[in-house]
Amino acid sequence: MNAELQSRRKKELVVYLLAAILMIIRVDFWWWDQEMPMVLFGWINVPMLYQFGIWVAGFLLVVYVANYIWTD
Amino acid sequence: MTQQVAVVLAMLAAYMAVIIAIGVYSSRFSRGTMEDYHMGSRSFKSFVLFSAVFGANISAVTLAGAPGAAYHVGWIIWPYFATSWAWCTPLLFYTVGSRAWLLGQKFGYMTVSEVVGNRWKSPTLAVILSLTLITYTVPYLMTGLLGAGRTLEALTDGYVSLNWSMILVAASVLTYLLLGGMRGAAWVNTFQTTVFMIGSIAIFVVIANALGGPVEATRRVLEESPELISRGKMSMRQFFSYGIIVAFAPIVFPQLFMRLLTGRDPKTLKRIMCFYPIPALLMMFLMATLGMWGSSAIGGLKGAESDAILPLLLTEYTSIWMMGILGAAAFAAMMSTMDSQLLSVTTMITRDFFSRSRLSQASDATMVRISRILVFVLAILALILAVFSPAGIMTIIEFALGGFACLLAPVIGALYWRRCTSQAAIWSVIMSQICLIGLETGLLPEVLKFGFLSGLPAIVVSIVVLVVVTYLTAPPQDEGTRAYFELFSRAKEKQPEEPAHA
Repeated sequence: MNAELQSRRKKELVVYLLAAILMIIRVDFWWWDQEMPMVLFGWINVPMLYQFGIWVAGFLLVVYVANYIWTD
Repeated sequence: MTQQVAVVLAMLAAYMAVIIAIGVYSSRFSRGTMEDYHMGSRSFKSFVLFSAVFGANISAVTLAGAPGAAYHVGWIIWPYFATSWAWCTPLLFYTVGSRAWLLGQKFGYMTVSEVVGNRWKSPTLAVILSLTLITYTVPYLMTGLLGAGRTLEALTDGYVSLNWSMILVAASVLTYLLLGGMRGAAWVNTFQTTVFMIGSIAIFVVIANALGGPVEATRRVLEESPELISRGKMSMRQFFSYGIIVAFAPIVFPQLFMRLLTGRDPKTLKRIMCFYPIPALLMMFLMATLGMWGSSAIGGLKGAESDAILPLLLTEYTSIWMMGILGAAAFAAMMSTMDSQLLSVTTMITRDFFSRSRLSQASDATMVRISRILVFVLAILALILAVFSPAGIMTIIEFALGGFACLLAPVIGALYWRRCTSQAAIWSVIMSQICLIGLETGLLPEVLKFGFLSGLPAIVVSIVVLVVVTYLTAPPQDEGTRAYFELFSRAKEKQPEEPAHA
């Protein structure tokens, strides 16, 4: 196996590991079932922003895979 | 007939006329072959492919199920889908799609069962997979009819009954599908995806404005049902397990898998992979938020009645003309999934069953005719099932998605694990389905769910059985395994490969 392939394998592993972590921490148990203040525009609270953050992180993983791992 | 009903029906009739015209026009490009009818000759470029893939995925779940569930449970319904499915499914476009696309190009495969079954040249595995996929696609198809039917019934204030609404929707989908096949469906989906994306944003803006703006609408929810904001009505275990299920399931959807194989080249797949998460988040956020706001605007809906919250909000808060236009957008989303599901089930039946019978000798023209008859029969079957279904869309979907998600393990085993055996894949499918159905029907004790949705323990069973049986059986020495992994190695080293099916 050449060095480039080995490097790609490592990157793949890191991506899948990060994806697994995201799937676990998307359950924000520390805020669950609590009333939180609306901190953005008067109708978005912190758990909503946190969930959006999870989506952003996942989206970045997708972009990374498309540009740096998946070769044509 | 009131003015409201007349206008809504006229707008929907105009919309249907446009999509049928697209279907008729696409039929001019038909080559009359199975490859063309089912796969559009594998020639779709980025925008058409994105619309086809995204349209196949955005369904009654998004336009009826998600707002309906948010009505009872709150805003958490958008992360319920969007913080796992929206980015995990595109990641799996790479994991599964990149290798499956190569196999499709090389061997001419069209279905999940062909890709997995031919790894070990195992007709038994292919048939079991096809039967399982068809079993779960038909109820999913039914949700499209139910969602579109409930939408039309609500928009016409009950003038068009639920059953007649579903018949009208089925007839429209059948028309362009029978004429245009995959190409017709993909072109119609391009139009439909554009309509429902723009329409959804418009629906959100119009209704938010009518409710006094997002701040006022959210304040009313906080006052009347604070648990919809605090997430008191959704258990963390359900949220976690659904995240896994909804992330794993879509890549195994026959309609989505088939459409990934229709891409012209990997660049096309990569483009749609990067774009997919954005509208996925947007659609779920808009629809679930509207559903939650709807709980304070239109109270008193029980159970599956809330699936109609979106058209009810449109009826209550928008003008008659706006109702017609926006109703068409909701229709677009639901129909785009139904057409692809009908086509994919037909493809599976013709490729995975008929190709093993005397019909394997039939000409392409005969097979295309048979495919068209099958599309018609399946639509009627789904219609009959939908008429007698009392369940809400989300209830049906949670069960069906669990069934699909259990199939990811054998798919990954076939594409990535050289040591994996066909017996392991077969037992993985059988045992996980027994587990899922046993838990759903109560034949297995509730305690085995550990508070999660039934799909999660079933996924664990599928993985464990795959690994254990693989090591209990002899390593595969077959031609399929060798051909698959040689192809993957060559692709990684970027050596050109001649298609074997040309």
